[in-house]
Amino acid sequence: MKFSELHPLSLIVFFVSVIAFSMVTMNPILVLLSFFAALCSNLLIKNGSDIKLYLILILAISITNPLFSHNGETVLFFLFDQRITLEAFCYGVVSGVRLVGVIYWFRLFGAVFSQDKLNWFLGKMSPKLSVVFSMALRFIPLVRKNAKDIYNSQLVMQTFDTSTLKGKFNLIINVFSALISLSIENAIETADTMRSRGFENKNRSAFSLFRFKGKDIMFIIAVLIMDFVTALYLFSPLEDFYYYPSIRFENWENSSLFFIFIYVILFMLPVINDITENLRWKYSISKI
Amino acid sequence: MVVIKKYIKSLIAVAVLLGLSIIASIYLQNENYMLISLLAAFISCVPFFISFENNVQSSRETVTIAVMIALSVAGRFIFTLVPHFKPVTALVIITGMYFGPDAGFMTGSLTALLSNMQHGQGPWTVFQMAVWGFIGFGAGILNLKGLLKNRFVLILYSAVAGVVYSLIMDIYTTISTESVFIVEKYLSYVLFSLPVMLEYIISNIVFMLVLEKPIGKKLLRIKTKYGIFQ
Repeated sequence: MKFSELHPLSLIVFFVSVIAFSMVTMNPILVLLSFFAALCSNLLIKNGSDIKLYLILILAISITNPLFSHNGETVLFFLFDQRITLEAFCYGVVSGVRLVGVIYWFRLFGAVFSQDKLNWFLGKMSPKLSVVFSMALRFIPLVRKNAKDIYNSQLVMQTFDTSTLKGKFNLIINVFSALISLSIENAIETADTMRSRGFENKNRSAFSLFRFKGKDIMFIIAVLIMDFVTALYLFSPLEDFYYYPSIRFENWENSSLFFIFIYVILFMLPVINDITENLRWKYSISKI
Repeated sequence: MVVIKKYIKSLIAVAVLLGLSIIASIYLQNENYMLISLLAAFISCVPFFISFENNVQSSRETVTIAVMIALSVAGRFIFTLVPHFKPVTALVIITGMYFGPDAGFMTGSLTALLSNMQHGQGPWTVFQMAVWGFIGFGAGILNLKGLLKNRFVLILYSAVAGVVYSLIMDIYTTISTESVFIVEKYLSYVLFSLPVMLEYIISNIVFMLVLEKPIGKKLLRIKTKYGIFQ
């Protein structure tokens, strides 16, 4: 079972813990590991990373941070009578990497957590919300198609002079106005059909294709155990890393290695899962 | 007054939850503003979703809200003449005005969620959901007494909505690049985004002036014809 085929609940447990941990820490080792894991998962699962764009973002944050924060001992140079320090620059780099890591996790979430999963999640929170959500999803392409049709027919009728910007704007406004009448009138008909089929009944149940399997239980338990270990590490002084006034990382002990190992396993779970799946697939083909 | 009371519960709930998260952040003395602000934005949506679940009952109202969401998402694609020049905020405000606070919040927040499915999700989605939701909710609350019927107040409200949207998204930018909130940095971001903010204000006002009369008439007609959102 691929990572994206897990039950939505397992995915939510995973993403909430990963994103929360990535946002909480400023320890460069953990930040870099999280960034690396997010990048690998994106490359493997989403088939793309737009890494250039995000490197520019990291660069921009690293450069701007020393301009605003003048803490730190090691002065690199003075700019407009302001101290530009090495510590502030390092802090900028780490926070930039952390932000991009978080954005990557959100990208992966967007790729893995498809519309039907989101609908399942909303439906658990509030059934009516999920109905609105799924109907709006269907209406968006419909509305866009109708808008195009109305626009084309208005264009042919030549009701507006489209050579000027004002004429174009008026045309679009006119199309939009017609679109609203059409959409709402049609929607009311849909609503009445829904009503006659028992939408307003209290004991209505929601359709869901997702089944909670044995692997999901294993996955959630594994994630929760690793969450606990990682939280222990993050709250202990072992993790503390100071940027100001000078960069200090004193509390390194051999036990840190164990915690970091667990942290890596937790963050690499999508990659580990999918690679083992691919290998198993290959292996079973060659056997036949 | 009875009508307003229905919504006071969710407002109080949001105030208490936000207060608790601020106290928690002070008590924990950590610098994780990013996580806490994200949580706060998410939490502040929850009471309104519950209120929507309880207040909106009929299928006609549910479907009409879905259509308004689809229209404001599609509005982002239909108006492509000038970038950032979008009718989304104006539509959210008009929905809130005519269909009430619950519909306003729902339209605002789900428009953010759904249109980001095309434009890319990120931590900003949660903030946009909260801000657009509040803009719609506020329009609904103000119009319970018919305050937004006054053209001047309406224009003022849409201008303020543009300013608030821009300012809150700047807070997000400040916190996201650095876990600590630095006032100078925030002010510089505000300064940077001033042209975009101006564009928001102008587009909100223009779309409000152009769209409010025809759309308002239509929504009012639908309301009386089908007896929804009374």
